[in-house]
Amino acid sequence: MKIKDKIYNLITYIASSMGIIVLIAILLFIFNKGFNKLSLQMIFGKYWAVNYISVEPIKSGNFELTNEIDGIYSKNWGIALKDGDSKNITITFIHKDSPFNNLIVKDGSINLQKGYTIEKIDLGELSVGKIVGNNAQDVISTIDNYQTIQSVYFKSQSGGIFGGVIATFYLILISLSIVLPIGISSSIYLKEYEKNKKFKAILQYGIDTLTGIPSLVYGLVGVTVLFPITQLVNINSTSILLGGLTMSIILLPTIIKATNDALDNVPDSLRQGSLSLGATNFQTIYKVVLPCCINGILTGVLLSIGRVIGESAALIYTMGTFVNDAPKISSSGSSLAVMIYSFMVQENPNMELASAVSIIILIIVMILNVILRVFGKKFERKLV
Amino acid sequence: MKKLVFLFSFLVTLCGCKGDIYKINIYTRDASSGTREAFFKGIDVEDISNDSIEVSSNGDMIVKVKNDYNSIGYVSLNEELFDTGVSILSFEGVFPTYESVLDKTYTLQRAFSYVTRAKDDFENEREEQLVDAFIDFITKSKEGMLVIQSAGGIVDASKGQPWEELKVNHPIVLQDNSDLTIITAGSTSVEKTITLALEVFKAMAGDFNFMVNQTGSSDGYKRVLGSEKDGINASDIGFSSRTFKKEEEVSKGKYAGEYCLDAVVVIKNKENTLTNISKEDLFKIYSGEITSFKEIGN
Amino acid sequence: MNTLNKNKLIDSIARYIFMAMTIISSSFTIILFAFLFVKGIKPFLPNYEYGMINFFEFLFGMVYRQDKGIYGIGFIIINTIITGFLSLIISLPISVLTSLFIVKIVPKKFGVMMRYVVDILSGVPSVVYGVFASGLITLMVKNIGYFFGIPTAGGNSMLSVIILLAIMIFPTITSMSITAITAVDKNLEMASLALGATKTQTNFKVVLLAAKSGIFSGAILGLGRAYGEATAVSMVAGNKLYGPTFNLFDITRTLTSTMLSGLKETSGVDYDIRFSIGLILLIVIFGSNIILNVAKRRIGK
Repeated sequence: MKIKDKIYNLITYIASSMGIIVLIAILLFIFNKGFNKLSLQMIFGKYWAVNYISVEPIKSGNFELTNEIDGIYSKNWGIALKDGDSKNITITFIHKDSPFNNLIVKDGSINLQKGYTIEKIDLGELSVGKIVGNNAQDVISTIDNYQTIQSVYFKSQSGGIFGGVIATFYLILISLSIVLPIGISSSIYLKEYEKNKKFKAILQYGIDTLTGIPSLVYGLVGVTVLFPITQLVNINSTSILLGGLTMSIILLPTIIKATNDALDNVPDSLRQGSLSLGATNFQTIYKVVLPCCINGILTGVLLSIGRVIGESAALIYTMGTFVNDAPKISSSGSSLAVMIYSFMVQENPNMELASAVSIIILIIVMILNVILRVFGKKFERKLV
Repeated sequence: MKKLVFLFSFLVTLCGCKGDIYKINIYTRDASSGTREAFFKGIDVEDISNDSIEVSSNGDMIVKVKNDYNSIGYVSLNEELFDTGVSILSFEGVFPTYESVLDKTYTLQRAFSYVTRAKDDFENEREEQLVDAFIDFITKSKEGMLVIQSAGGIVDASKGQPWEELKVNHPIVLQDNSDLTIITAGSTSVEKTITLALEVFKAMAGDFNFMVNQTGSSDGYKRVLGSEKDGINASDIGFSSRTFKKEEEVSKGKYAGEYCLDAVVVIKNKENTLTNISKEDLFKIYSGEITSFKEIGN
Repeated sequence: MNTLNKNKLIDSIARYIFMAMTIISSSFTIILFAFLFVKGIKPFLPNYEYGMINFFEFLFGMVYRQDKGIYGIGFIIINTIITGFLSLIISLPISVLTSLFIVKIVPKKFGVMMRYVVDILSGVPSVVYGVFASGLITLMVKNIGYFFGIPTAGGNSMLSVIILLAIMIFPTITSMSITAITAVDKNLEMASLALGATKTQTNFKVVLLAAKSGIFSGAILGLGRAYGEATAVSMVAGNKLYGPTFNLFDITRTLTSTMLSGLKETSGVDYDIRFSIGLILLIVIFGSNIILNVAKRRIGK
C-alpha cells in the first residue's frame, strides 16, 4: 500500500515539476539568444536606418590617443572603425574634437555617433566605403592619406524597436477605451438589471462563446466586419485603429467576467440600503456598487493589457507586419508581439532580435502578474 | 496512467517504422515567388512533387535548409549567402560566382529588366530628367552598380564610370528635388536592389521622394506604358524579373533594358558531401522521381 | 418632485443604454459567424469570380496545392484534430497532477509560487512560444529522430507541434483544474480519511473524482486553444502539401498554419479560401466542444 502511494506521489512530483522546467527552459533559451542585443539603444532606437550625406568638406587634424580603443583608429581624423555584420563599417569611437563630430547635412549639422555605419567617404578624386567594396582597414588607411574629405555618406544605427512600443501603447489605449464602457455596462446590465432568466442566459451564452473563438478568426473578421468602420474615418488600409477595434472584441469576455466577479462580491445589503434610502437603481449602481468594484475592474484591465501585449495572430491580419518607426493610429504598424513574428519570417530571420523583444515582453508579463497578485490580495481583504 | 501507457506504446510503434536516412527533403518557395519561377524554368520542372516543404522567404529557406541534414533548396545568390552556414552546390559542374554568372557559364540565372515611361509622357520635365539621371546611375555609374551589387544584384561594376563624370549630363541632381516623386512598379524580386539604389540616389540627387510599389512582374509594363499608365497606379519605372514579353512593347518607353542579373543557387546542408548536381537530377528530385540521396551517388 | 422625475428618467435611459451595450456585445458572436459564413462559402458558389471550387473536393480533398489551384483540406482537418488530441493527452495528466500538487500536497507558500509559474506560462505570448519552439523544441525532436534513425525536416514535425501545444495548453487546463479541486467539499475528504484511506488514496480516488467535471471543462477549453493556436504552430509545422500525417516525425499542416501562409495575398482565391478555412476551424472547435460536452454528461452520470 505504502509503495503504491509513494509511486503515485513520485509521479505527481515529476509531473508538477514539468511546468517549472518548461518555464526555466523558455527563460534560459530566450535570455541566452537575446540578452546581448538588449540595450537602451535597441528599446528607444529606430528599426530602419536613416541615410545622411554631409554637404560641406571637412579638414583633417591631429587627434592622438593614449588609451586603447576598439576598432582601427585614424589619428588624423579622430575616428575608429570596425567591420560589423553583413559587411558594414561601424563607427566604434569618435574623438571629441574630431571633424566628424560636426558634419553639415542638408537640414543642419549632425554628430556622428557610435554605432553609425559609414557607407561612402568622398575624397574628391576617389571614394572609399562599404558601397565601393572596402573594409574598415581600407577606409582608415586611405583617408589617412588625404587632408580633405568632400562628403560623407553614413547611416544611423538600425534595429531599434521603439515604433513597436508606441504601436503597442496605442493599441492598449484604443482597445481599452472601447471595451471598458461596453464591457462594464454589459456586465452591470446582466447582473443588476435583467431579471428575465432565459433572456439573460442567452445574452450570457453569446458573450461566453466569444472566449472560445481563436484570435486568428477574430483577425479575419476584423478585416471584413470592422474594416468598413475604419473606412468611415478614411483609413483604407490595415491600421492600428483596426487592430484596436479587433482587440476590443477579443477583450470583451475578459472585462465582462472581471466586472461580474467584482459585482458578485458586493454584498446585497449595500444595494438594499441605498435603494431603501430612495436612491434609484442607477444612482445605487453609480454611487454605491461601482466604487466597490474598482479593484475588480482594474484586475480586468491588467489582464487585458497582458492580452494586448501578447496578441499576434489577430493583429497580423488587421495591422500588417510592416515594422513602422513612427506609427500613427491611422497607419499600419506592428506591436511588439507582431514584430517578433515579422523578425522570424522576414527575408533574413533574426532570432536574436526576436528573442530580445521576447525578453521585454516576458518582463512586462511578469510585472503585470506581480501587480495582479497584489491587487488580488487587496481586493480580497477589502471585501472579506 | 492507462493513457500514459497507451501513449508510450504508440510512440514505440511509430519509432519502429524507421525511415530512409538518405531521404531527400525538398524545400520550395511559395507560388508567388519569382525565385521559384526562375528556378523551375531553369530546370524545366512544371509540376513539383507533392512531397515538398513550402517556405515563405529566402531567409526562411536558409534557416530550414541549415537545420535539416537531408535538405535541398534554392535561393537567390547574394554575398551574405556564403556566411549563412548552408553549402552551395555547383550546377552542371559550374560553381555560382559573380564571374560565372556574368560570363553566362552558370546557367541558372535570370535578368532584371526595367522600362520607363515614353518620352515626354512624364508628369513634368524635371521628373523626366531625374528618371534619366537615375537610369544612368543604376546602369552606368560605378557607385550605382556597387549599390545594386551590395543588395544582391549581379553586375560587372568594373565597367562602371564614376558618378562624378556622369553627373555632368544631369544638372537636375544639383537642384532641390524634394517636390518630385519617382514611383516604381512591377516585380517584387527587384525590390531590394531598387529600394537601396533609390535610397542612395535620393541622398545624391536633391532629396527627391520615391515609392517602391512592387506587386508582380506583369504590372511593370502595364503601369508604365500599358493599360494602367494613366490610372491610379501610374508609375515612372516598371521592373520585371524576367525579360519583357513580346506583346509588351517596351520600345515605346524612353529607356528599356536590363540592369542586373540574378542567379538561383541550389543549397544543401553542410553535413551533406554532395558538391555538384546536374539539371537532370534536379529535375528528377523536384518532380519526385528521385527521393533518396543514394540515387544520385552519395 | 422634479428631481425625482429627472432621476427616474436618467435611470430608465441608463437601463436602455446598458441593455443596448449588452445586446451589442453578445451579438458579436452572431455577426462574426454570419460574416465568416458569407465570406467563407463564396468560393463554392457558381458565380464565384475566380472559378467555382467544388465544396466536396475542398472538404474531403487530401492535397492542398495553391500553385495548381487544388484546395483540399480533408487531411488538414484530420491533422488538426490529431495534433490537438495528442497534445491534450500529454498535457491533461500533467496539468491535473500539477494542480493536485499545488492544492493538496505542497505547503501553501510553495503552492503560491507554483501558481505564479502557471500564471506566467499562461501570460507568455504565443509568438514567444513560437521562437522557443523553432529554436529548441525542433532541435530536440531532430536529435530524437536521429537517435532512432528517422530523418526529420530539421525538427519541424508533428511531434514538435504536439509538444508545443501541450506546453501551451498546460496553464489553461491547470488553472481550471485548480479551481475545480479547490471547490471539492472538505467533508468528502474528511470522510475518506476517517474511513482509513491514506492521504494519497484520498487525493487520487476521492478528490480527483469529485473534481472530474471541472477538470473536463478545462480539457475542453484547452483543446479549443490547441485547435486555434496559430502563430507558434505555423513556425514549426512545416506545411506539408498532402496528408494526412500519421508519422510523428513527418511535417504536418494544420488549419491555422494554412490560414497564416501566403499572407501577402490580398485578393483572389488564396485570400478568400482563408475565410472558408476559418469557418471550418470554428466548426471543428465547436463540434468537438459539443461532442466532449455530451461525453462529459455521460461520464457525469
